[in-house]
Amino acid sequence: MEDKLRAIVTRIEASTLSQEDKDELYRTISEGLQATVWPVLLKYMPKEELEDLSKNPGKVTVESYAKLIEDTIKDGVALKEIEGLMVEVLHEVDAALDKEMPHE
Amino acid sequence: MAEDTADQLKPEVEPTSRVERIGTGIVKFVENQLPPAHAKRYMRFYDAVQSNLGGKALEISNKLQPTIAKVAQLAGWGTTVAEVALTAAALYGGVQLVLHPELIGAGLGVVKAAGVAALAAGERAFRYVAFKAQVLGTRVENVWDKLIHPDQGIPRGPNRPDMPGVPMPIIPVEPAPGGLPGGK
Repeated sequence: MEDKLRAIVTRIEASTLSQEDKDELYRTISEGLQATVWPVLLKYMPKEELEDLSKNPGKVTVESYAKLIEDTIKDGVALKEIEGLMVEVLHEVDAALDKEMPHE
Repeated sequence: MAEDTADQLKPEVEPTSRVERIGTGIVKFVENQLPPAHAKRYMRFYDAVQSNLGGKALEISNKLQPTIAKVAQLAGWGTTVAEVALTAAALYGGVQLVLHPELIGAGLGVVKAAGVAALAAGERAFRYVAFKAQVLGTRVENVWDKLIHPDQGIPRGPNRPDMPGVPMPIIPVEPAPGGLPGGK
């Protein structure tokens, strides 16, 4: 994934886009990558733990929040799915660049 | 995701520049690919995170980092994926986080520059609203269009486009000692 991202960034940097447009693209890509994380985390969160915190907001502390995230990701399944989505996002970015900037 | 009405789905302004079209395509793709969001009943949890954990990004990041690093190492992940996941986990939890250069893999170095700009004062409010919009099934694209002022990157209230958001304090994040493993 990192190689893919690096190639995309290199391509954008070498393009004729203005710096403002490049920044806009980078911001969108960053947003797209980060947007894949939370919905997947929600999917794999221990339901009882999440329900308990939802019903008892006072229990939401740094420790309980961190524990919830850790319990969600510790077996690696959620992060693997996140990685897969991120790669798909980058494929889509590539396709969009091919369409809009075919010669760059 | 929750169904949107045709009126909600229709963007107010059609993208005209190629950058806008690329951005719109990415947003649409992300929305279509995301797993189904959970119910509104978890809104109280998100609100609690926002109010209870605001200003504790560093603390949360430090607590999460060892676990994410360990999982990433076991999975053979690259640094960037782990860092984005860590950032998003803290950020989408409603906690503000400034992308620090040492925390970002080389591939995201330039993205970081845009990310920092996007995380300027007031971004936190946008993040939270956009995040809630995602969970509720609302098109994130509409949220972005309505909340982010293209010139200043400062979010505005959803019903008051003429009212800029109040700047929020930015909390710098110290780089992790040794950084995260990986580098695929």
